[in-house]
Amino acid sequence: MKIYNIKTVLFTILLSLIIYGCENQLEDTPQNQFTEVQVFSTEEGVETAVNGMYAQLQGYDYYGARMRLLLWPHSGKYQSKQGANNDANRLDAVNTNINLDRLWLGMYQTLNQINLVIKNVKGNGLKNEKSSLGQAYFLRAVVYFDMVRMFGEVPLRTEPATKQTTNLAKSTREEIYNLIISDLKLAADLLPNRGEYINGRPIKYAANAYLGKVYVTIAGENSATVKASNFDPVTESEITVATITNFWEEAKKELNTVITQGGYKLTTTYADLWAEGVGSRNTEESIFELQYGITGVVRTNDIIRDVVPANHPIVATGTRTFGRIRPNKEMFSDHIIQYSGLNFSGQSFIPAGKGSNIITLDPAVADPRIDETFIYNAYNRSTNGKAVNIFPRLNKGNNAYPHLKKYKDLSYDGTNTINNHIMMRFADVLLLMAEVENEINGPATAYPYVNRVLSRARTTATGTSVQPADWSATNIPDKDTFRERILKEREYELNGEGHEWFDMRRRGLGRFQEQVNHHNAAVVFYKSNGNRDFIFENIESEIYLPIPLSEITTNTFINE
Amino acid sequence: MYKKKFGKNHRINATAGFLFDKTTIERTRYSGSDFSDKSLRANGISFAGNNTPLIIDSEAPAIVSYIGRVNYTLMNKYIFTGTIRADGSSRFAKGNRWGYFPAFSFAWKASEESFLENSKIISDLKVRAGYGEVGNQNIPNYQFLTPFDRTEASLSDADGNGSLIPVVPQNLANPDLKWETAFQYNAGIDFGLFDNKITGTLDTYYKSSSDLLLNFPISASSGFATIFANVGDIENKGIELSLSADIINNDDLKFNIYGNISHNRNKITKIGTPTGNVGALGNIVSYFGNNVSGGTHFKQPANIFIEGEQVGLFYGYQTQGIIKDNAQLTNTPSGNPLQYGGTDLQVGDVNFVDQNGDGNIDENDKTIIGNPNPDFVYSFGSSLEYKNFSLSFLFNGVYGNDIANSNLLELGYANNTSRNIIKNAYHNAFDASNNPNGTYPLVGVGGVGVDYTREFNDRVVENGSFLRLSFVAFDYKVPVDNISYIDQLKLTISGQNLWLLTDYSGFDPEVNSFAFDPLRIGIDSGSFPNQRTITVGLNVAF
Repeated sequence: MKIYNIKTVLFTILLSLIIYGCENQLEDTPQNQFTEVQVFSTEEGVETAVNGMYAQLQGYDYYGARMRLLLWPHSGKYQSKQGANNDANRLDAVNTNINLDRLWLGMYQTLNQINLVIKNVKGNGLKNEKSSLGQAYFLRAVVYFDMVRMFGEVPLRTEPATKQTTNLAKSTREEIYNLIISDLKLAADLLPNRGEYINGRPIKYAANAYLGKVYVTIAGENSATVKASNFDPVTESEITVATITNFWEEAKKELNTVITQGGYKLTTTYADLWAEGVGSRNTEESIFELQYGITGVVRTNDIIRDVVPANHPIVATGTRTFGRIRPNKEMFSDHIIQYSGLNFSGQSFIPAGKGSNIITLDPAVADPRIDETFIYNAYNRSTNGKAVNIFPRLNKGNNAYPHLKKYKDLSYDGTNTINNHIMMRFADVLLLMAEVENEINGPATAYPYVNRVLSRARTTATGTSVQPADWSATNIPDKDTFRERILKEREYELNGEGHEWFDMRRRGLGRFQEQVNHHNAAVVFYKSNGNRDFIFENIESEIYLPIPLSEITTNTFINE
Repeated sequence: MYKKKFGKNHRINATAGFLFDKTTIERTRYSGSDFSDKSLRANGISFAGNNTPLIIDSEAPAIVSYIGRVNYTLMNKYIFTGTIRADGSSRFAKGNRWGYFPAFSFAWKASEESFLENSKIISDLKVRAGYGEVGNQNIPNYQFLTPFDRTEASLSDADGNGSLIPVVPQNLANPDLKWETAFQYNAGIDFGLFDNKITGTLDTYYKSSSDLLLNFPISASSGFATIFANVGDIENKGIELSLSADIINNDDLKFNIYGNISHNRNKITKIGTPTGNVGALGNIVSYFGNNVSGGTHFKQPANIFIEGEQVGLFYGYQTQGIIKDNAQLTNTPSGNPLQYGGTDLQVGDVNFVDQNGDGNIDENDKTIIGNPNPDFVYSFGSSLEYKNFSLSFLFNGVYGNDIANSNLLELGYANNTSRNIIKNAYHNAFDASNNPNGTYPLVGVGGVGVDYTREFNDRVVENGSFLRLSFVAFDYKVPVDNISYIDQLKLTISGQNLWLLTDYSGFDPEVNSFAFDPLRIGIDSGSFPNQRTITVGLNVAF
């Protein structure tokens, strides 16, 4: 009987131990991944989270591809062959557009990562607290600046989401601009000086440059003569995070800081910016650039695939490119008529479709930017040497477009490109400054800023060209002409760098409509309506993009 | 284990158990691209010009269960069973780990009762009733946490080398995740009549599932597209009947027929989110299914889940044929043609129903346009044996469901692209002079001007009812009594899927392209159809 009892006791103890051990096994956490606390408890960990902000910003769903696939054609300046983007290609974006849907998520993924960094790094006392926070505030402003221009009102997230906070109502444009301005002011304070941190990351003057652009944007929207019907201007007094008496003056102050103290300069030639190889990365002109490179088998920057025509010799032979986004015909035609030195007097568009319509430029005369920017007339396939005719040699069919030439990459392997994406460069700042100066004091004091850009444009490795000629009272006589021409000048200088969607709209509905009318006239001139190209109608609704349907159906605070 | 008999009439049988189930999964992943020589295929992965690092990831989910069961049999006729189990799952946070699931059942072998023992009609009768609860924890691991992991691509430094490692959160944590539970009442009768020549089963059930575990779409403005969550309650009630009759049963001739029919009705009883305005449906509590496709066509959800309604109703535009003439075109409250996307519809376009009468066909006109849930499913068959011959067949069918034939969104418009379309979209396209009664929109639809061809509408929702001869078999046993070295010789001819009756225009109504996804229901997206097979066989046994 006694033995039996001991057995029972032993058995019970053993069973309890087993059960205890087993219940412990219910405690299962990932072995090969970090927790939030782990990531943010060391300097190295914080750097990986900071890298995460850039990875999201420049990933496929945002700057890597989706933003370009959606915004370039929807700017009204580019044609896209992407069928899934058909609505935006017709300047009639719908809220189920797949690029829009993914872009929206990509933008908020970036914001969530930024907010994680801010929440965890602020006050942690680690050595990289300042640089990490500086970058986080800077990037948050960059993303919200994109958002407020693209969508108007959006949910304004300043904290990482939790399960309880997945739904958030839209904030007003005033609220969004207040956050952008206060973030950029913090960033201007916290970001490092040149050479103090990782190369290729923004320094403090990048924040001033963005602030300048933010003020120019608000000022331009407010001073537009024809505005969208529901436009609600953000006034100086509505900016509560800074004392602002006049947006133009404030823009001038910030841009001036960049020009006089930033240490940026224009590259010697325009071609230096687009030279094949690593040499054109992070030039002295670069203010903010997304760093792409050999990063594995995931496609992050799809620029080569998107804009280089199939088998063009500016990429390695045999690599797969689609060249599905092309500048509209009038974009090339305008640049030729303006700056080629060829005589098209009295004509709105260059003729196209015949052998005699081939454009031959005189390098001593024509704007060197034309050859750096465009592939035109024809090119020989790198695979078999056969010629492919394109615009303006060809005017009908799928190939009848010019292509962009800026993005060359002989080491492109179909996945990675070593081409960076330039978010902002010094020429952009100079052109903004010229625009601001013209608004404040008129053209006389504004010419020198434009002329710095034009003079560099004329410079080539072998000499200088005649065009683009300096601006002066003879060719740009008054404030209104200057205002219109400066925006056109941005198009010539910055074509294919992602500014068109914003530049088309930031001077209000009036200028947007003018540019669209010009496009529509080109469609009529080249008889290409329905043949890959479209007459754009009812564009007032296209000043902003719609909020994606997926957000409307899930977010309980948003109905449209 | 415990067994005991008390006297003649009482028998108790009890079991207690403890179950521990742990799985350890280790995965390693490596990918490469840009191969200089592809001839080694996958084995030559180390020749890639471009690699990702080896990604290692491991999981160790566990379940611990305590189970107790008591069986009590009274007088061999009344059987009571009670079960209770407590299950702990590592997939939930501490505090939500345990679920408790009792079950009771009762069975009465009525045919054993003295008043039925000698019945000529009723040869077998058993009555069953039960109540039970079950749990479900079938979700990916670690969803109650937010693990941080590297992105698959590295981040480039200023020189173009991918030397920097970005770390980002993998999902949005849901610390409140818990067991999905369901309780079910069921009752049934098993019976046999006339010496079991006719046998049958009748079952009814009511099942209510709560806290369904779903990968639920959330506002992407949170930075995440979905979250695993306990979302809503669903009830299912149904009735199932099956019958089998041996009409003739003697040594030479056997003839049997059988059939079954079941009806199930589901209803979403709770979703638990605030109400919102959805299309023309007004203020409702609902959520949408997943986008049907990520590509060009049908990049929108087909299904909507509305509180108080059946699951997965189709949601889109209602239409009423083609706009045949100017009178129809201007038959609107304002007298102007309806607009889509700011452009006027024309004669020959699809005639959309403007639910709110504002003259615009837009989001606010979307409504319920179909129901993928069938009214009933059924099957019946028969077998006949005569001497050495035997013949059997089986029909099965579904009645009353709709199918979203998503292929038609691409194939149903003669839209001047180089892609294939169905014949009728061209040959029966509306044409004011040659084919004024055409049932498809005019040729060139969507090419210039208004393009609604990507919108989900009731033109692609079809009746999915069908009746199929799913199986026929014919056997002949060759007499081999005289051949000493052969035991048996059987000749068989059988066919599957030989005949189908349906109005469905796609390949096969018996499809569900996204069977793995409860948020995409009743959609045919280029599904592979059931094949027709005919098999001839000879079976020899020595």
